[in-house]
Amino acid sequence: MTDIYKTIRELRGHERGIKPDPAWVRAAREQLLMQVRNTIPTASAAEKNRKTLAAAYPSVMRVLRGPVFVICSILALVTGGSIASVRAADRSLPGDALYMVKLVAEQTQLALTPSVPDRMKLKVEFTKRRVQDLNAVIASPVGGKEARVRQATDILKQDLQTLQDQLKSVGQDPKTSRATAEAAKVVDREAVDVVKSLKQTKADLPHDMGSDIQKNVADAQAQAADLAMNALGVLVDARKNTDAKDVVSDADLTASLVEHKEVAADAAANVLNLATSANPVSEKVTSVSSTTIGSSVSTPLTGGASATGTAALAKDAQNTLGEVEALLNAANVDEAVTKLKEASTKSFQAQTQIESIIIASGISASSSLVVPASGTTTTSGTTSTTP
Amino acid sequence: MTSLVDRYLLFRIRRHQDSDAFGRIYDRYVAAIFRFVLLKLPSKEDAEDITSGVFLKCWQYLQERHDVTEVRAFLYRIARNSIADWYRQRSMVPHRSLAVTFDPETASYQSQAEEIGDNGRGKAALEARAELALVMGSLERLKDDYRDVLMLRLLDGLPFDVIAEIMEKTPGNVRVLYHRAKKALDTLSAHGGPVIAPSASEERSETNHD
Repeated sequence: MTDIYKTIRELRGHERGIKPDPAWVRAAREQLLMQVRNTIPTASAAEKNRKTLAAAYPSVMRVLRGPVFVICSILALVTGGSIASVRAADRSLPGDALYMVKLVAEQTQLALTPSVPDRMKLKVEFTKRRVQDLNAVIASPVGGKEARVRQATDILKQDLQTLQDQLKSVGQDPKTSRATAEAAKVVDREAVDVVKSLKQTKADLPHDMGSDIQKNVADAQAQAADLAMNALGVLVDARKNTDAKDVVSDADLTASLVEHKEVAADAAANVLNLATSANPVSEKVTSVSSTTIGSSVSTPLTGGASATGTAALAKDAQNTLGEVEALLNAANVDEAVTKLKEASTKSFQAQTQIESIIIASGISASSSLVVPASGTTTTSGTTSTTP
Repeated sequence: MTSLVDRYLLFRIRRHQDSDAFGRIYDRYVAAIFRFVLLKLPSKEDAEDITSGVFLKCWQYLQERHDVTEVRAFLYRIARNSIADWYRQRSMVPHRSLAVTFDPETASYQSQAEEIGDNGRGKAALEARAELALVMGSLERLKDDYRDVLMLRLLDGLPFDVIAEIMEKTPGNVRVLYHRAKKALDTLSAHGGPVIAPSASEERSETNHD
């Protein structure tokens, strides 16, 4: 037993002792002091909050997630804040002192929502707000814009990942419930809107924004596309379940497939346009980070991952989309969904690769963007108009 | 000297609502509170959440009441109560699975050596984790009070009067508890099996004999 006592003593203060993650310690400290200062009615509190917020950002959402913190935040808001301050927070943007109050209020709502499907619906609503916040910051003449945009994109990516995890957890139930199917329908629809919205965001990003921000937006778009595809998968499973069958009609499913097809086709067309400008410089880039299906992998560039190779991937995606159209026309929905997932993965993988090449080479990723007219898809070199 | 610093910081917090002073309290005790909490909860994330909550509750209490004299003990007390609340909310018996495990794949705690990625120190970290798992495997078979007093005394190096304040007992009771905890640990290692805590009357009679 002497050994155990000696070991316990050695654990104290020894370098092998138990220590918290230094990054978490720093972030939690900043978050704590921000909460503390919000309860102090001084004129300098707002300025102090803004500064600690900028430093706090990387681990903040992890702290916010915990139910203990949410409950304490409710107490802090009740004792130190007021309805007026929460209302004022609604209008705040990333980087503002009250922005954290806004996020805490949303987290509180989520924590008080009992079921996972209902939380998913709420979370996707909040995620849309993050996109709106991001676009608002880009458009507004605020100071410290780059840091604010970086913060907004980080939050957006984390929210998309949370939704992905929630969808995965409900999707594992072999008997998809009505509530899950309804939530998946909302997530599918809204995630596709997020993909479309982020296309515009990429175009609006100032050219002098850091390459990490451009990459973040591109990654977020790919994440949203993947989320939408997974939600679609849950909807397809729901149709096999008697209880949830009527939640997704044939017309609903077909409309969703068409939306997904358009988004994937748009991404593939974007790649082919961008590949033209990226081709001369791709040899200078040695690795590319691609975010596909929820993972972010840095892939050493080989000849196949050059702009030329990426364009080939995009063309392959277009060919697959042609097959999707044929399957839809033949009312073979299940196979159409499988092919669509394949096409969407290829399109967004190619898009992420080409954007990474362009970012690494210093050319703006949006400079050669040509947006196909809505309702137009380019398949196998021919152009057709979708009715 | 330690208590003088804490007393000064408490004064700054009460009189001037000094958030920087509170930040210094956080810096002084976050590692100890985190360690205390981590060894009682199933995951590092839960431990982080609870630890953050402990300091926030501490601040809120200090704004309303002025009866805290020993902030370190107060933080530990909040931590103990928070952990009890955590299990109560989940209608669970205090979980005996450790956040600190031996399996490198599932361990939620990482030593700094591993984070740095130095292979030589990584090996030392694995050995340390094995030692810790062995120790905790023994300690976790003890009753809560026994485990708490041993950890607070041996791991955190706290004096008996501070431990008494944390556990809301008299210093005499704490000494007896510590003595019993050590005996129980020795018994466990000799014979194995669960350890039964004494009843409150047995504790009182032993204290009276001191």
